[in-house]
Amino acid sequence: MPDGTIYYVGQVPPENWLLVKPASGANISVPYGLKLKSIELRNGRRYFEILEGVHIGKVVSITASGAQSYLTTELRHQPGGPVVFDLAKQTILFGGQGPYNAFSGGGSMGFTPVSRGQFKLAIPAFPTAQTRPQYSTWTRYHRSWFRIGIDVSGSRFLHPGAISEGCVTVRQFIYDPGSSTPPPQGFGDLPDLAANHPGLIGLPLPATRAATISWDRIYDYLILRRLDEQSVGTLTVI
Amino acid sequence: MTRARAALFCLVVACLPAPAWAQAAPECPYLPAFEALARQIPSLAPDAALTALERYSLSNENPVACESIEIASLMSDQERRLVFLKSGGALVPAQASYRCSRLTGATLGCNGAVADGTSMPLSAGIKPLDRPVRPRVAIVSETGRLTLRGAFTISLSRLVDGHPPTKLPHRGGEVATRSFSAGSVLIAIFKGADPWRYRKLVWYF
Repeated sequence: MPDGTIYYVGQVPPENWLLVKPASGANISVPYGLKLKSIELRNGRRYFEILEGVHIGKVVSITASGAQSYLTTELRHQPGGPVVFDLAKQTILFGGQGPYNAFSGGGSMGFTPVSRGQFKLAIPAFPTAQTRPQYSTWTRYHRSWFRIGIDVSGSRFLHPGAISEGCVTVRQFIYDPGSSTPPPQGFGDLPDLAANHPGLIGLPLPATRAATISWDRIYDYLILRRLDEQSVGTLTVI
Repeated sequence: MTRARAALFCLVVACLPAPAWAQAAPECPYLPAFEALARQIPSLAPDAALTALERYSLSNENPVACESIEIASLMSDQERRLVFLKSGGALVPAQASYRCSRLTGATLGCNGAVADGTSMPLSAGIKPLDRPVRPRVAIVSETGRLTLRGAFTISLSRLVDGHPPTKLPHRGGEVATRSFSAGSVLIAIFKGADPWRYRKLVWYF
């Protein structure tokens, strides 16, 4: 690994987040595809400068063996990806694929659905804990969310799920309280939400329901795309 | 391997249900030392569990981040059980806890091993509390490792769009309850030791 070489975070099964050590502070996680520049090898650790995303400019290190296992030069970013979300139809399209099922929650607890307009989708910055292990039934990458807009203070995301607190939420299953099918294991709170905060789980469902899609497909489409050094593409809300 | 040994292996290793902590990321390549520690955590008092997890984090490095995410979850669970909202005689543990090296701007974002998810309680299965009926409540820490630095409130609707929370006057952790409307959040910022200099403890109303 010569100094000055450009590397990328490679695949890190199972969730594609790599732990690195910054010069100060606690360790941080960086996502698959993040661009780094090799600085030096010192005391068995390889040092890198992060070249994009929320940690841009930070110097981090990883053990030499970790660098060997999880960093690669064999990766190319693709142009930014367009994603289109239709609020009323509860559909999402990406890269000419779709429509698939997605919604934006609001109308309860002060939450409002995402506004219409065009926004950048940020490179995932931190793994999320606002998820449930049961989502792994449908997707491996449920901890990787794309922030809507690159301002780090915002908390609206494009993410997989069944509950939407003002985000654009890609349904991994459809829960219909009018049917006799109970919610999947781990989602026992959905009937209560349907009764008390229906808008936050996208009720009422539209008459025509698009098919669901595994979050992995959207993640795979976006994660290696770059619009600029902070974003993977655009989200257009209509 | 004989059939009897194979059956024993199955009984001891493969056929037992995964413990709760391992169900979070069933394929995560945890280090053996972490697996041993995680089994001990339920038997430890919260403060002792936190000390053990911090020591482990500072002396071990698994580049596969799912382990650090799991450690963050365990730390959060323990820390929530050490910080309370006291209303009359009732002690209500914090509903969420985040730890970070620095707070991000006026919004007090506390992103660390995992993202600050303060604005998304329901996704994590957290239900809002009834608003306190007494005029004042107190933020009480049962650990000497944390020092209260400030109390703040904001509505979820403003928080989700990145507005800064309002600082609440407090004396000894006591704050006036008229500050809390339905759909609002109480945030307590604590100072801790490096490398996790800040803690963000949260209650929802």
